[in-house]
Amino acid sequence: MRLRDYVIRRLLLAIPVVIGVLAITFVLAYVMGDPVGIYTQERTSPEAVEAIRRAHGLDRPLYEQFFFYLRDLASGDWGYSVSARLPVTQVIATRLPATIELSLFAIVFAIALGIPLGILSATKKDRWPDHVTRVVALAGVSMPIFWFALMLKYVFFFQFYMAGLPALPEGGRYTFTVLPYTPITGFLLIDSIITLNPVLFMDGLVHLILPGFALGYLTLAIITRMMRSSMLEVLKEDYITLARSKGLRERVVIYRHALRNAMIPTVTVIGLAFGGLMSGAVLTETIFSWPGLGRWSTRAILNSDIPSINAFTLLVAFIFVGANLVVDLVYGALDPRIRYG
Amino acid sequence: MDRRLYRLTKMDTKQYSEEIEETSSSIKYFVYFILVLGFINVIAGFVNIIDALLLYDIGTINEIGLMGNIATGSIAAIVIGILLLPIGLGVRDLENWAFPWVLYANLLAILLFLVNGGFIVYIGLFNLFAIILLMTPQIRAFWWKLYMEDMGPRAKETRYTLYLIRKSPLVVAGIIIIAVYICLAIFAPYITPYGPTEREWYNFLQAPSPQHIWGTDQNGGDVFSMVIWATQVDLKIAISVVAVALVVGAFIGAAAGYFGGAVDEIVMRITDVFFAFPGLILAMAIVSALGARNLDNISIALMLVWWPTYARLVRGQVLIEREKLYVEAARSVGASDMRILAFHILPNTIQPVIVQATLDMGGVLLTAAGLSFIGFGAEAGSAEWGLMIAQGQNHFAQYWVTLFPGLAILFCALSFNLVGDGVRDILDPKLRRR
Repeated sequence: MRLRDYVIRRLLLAIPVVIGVLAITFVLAYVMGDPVGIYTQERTSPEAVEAIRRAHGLDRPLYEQFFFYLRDLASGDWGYSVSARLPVTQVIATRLPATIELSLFAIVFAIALGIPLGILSATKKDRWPDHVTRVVALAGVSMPIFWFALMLKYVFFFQFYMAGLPALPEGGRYTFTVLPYTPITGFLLIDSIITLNPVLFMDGLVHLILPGFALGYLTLAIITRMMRSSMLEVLKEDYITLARSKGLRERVVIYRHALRNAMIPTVTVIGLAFGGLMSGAVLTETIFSWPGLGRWSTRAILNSDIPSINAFTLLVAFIFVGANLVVDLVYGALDPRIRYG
Repeated sequence: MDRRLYRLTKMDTKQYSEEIEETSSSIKYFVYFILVLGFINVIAGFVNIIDALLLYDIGTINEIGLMGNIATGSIAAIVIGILLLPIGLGVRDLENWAFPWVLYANLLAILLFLVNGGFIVYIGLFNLFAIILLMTPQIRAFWWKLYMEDMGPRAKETRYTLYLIRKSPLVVAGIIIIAVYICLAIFAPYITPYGPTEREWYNFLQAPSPQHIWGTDQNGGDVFSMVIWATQVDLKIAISVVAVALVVGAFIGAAAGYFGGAVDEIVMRITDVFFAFPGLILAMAIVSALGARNLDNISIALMLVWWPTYARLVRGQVLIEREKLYVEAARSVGASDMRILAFHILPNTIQPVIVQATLDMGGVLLTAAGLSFIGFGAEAGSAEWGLMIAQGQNHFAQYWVTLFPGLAILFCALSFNLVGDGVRDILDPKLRRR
């Protein structure tokens, strides 16, 4: 009963944020330049410019234009991407799966490694595993992700290749020169399982390693730090002392009693880390020629392709808001105190 | 409180001047000198404004340079000057709170004169001189007793914090690295063998050698020199972004937290919207909206992205502080809202803000370098870390072109993170006294 109220309240709180996001993207697009420029040339007569303006509703007051903007977004007309020569919605449909695949790989890697490292660091506080983990985490937060990606590429692609070792691929989602691939869902790994193509699956996985690692390192660092501090906090609680005094084994105390409570703040951090993943994807995809949204956005920006920049910003904001919403709901389900607070 | 009230009501200027008479004549001259320094500061601030306007007229600096110069250098100088004046006059009640503010303002001014260059250098030197004077034993004896009566417990706490910082090797390491970077930025002209745009086109992509210890890039620029020259550019972005975001965010957040109600609700919803965008991506959109792709626009975009962090942080702190007894006491003696906010609440919220600012220095540095890497930043070929990496990315065999600028960013961000992280742990009341 209370959980339902919490969910409803949380959903209602998201509404002004979404409206604000729409308003900001609208204002930014408005400032970016006069959209009439796309349809006109230098020799277009002023009357023709006026006609175009009227035909597209650009002579209306700003608030009316904002409603047109909302209407078009709702009806699925997100504009035409000049840099990709496709409607924006189509570009998103073809490129979003690639970005999601990469981000999911990165986040799974970060969680799978970050949580154990955080636990290790907390349980061996101020001993060498703790120091090593802290250095790894601090380096992850301080590392320029694009430089890290380039260095990974330099070592695992270039140096391995020069040394005659089996090198990891330098970029792309699969070896398109050798392997045929027609997207079904757009997720390469899922598609290769559906079509029972183990060669393509392995190829896709190998291509994911370097960009996934580069992208996931920052998230890994954030999760490790959060896990360490929340674990330390929890280990000071009375019920841990009680569990220990009952004579439970240390492993049971840590994994059954402490871990669940220490996970709660970590879950929130994962939601926030999603924003870092989206930012990082822009840089990583550019370096690894990953055919996702990030690479498209950088190309759009360098070509001053306004509808694409706008759509990308909007989409990322929606994904980020959605991710945080989900995290908050999970948080509410995990921690009853939040609902009654 | 009563003592201060007594001073405010009973004492008059005559008594103050009598007290100055009582002190020995040498101290009197020192105090007069501080008065003069205060005047010089105020005048220097105005001269700086005129100087910046003139440079703008000639076309040496653009609007952003003009605004930056006026906002940072001149206002800091005028504020410091005005704060120094009462100390010089020996107005006791003012000097108690003025001293910490002079310290804060001076720290800011020293940072800013690194950033800004030009006339502000002299203002920074004046202020340094003023601080040294304030610290001389005779002058200290003059204000120290009163200061300690009011600030005793806080001074003790500060000394303990400094002790803990000295004891923490990671924080000390971070501070040393930051100091090294600042020295590199200041002394770049004397350290570097080549200029920031100096090229030996016939020596492109040379491996590290005695002439070019970190090799050369694709245009024949000396990587070692360029990395050091870039310190100026990148530190300037980081410092200016964090300083502006902090001041603007703190102001908005403090107002929201203190007044509450509709103001608070609106400000918080606005910050929610800003938090809905990942930083780099919002900054990308803002830079493209601003039009020209240059470092100034990167700074503006990052300021717009970063202020909500401080607004939220300060609001939260103000919400906690405004319920405390000392605020009640200040209000009961009739202090105005602005006075309570500026001189009672804000100084008590400064610690987490400083920690956050230190941590954000690293974040801003990385984001700015990322934007520059994508192609927003400085014009091709100039010395800037992100851009150098971007230009080196196609030269795989010549690892040094990308390696060294990247290491420079890494260590710079790392040092700020080390300091911020360590100091946060030190200030955390839960971990403080075990």
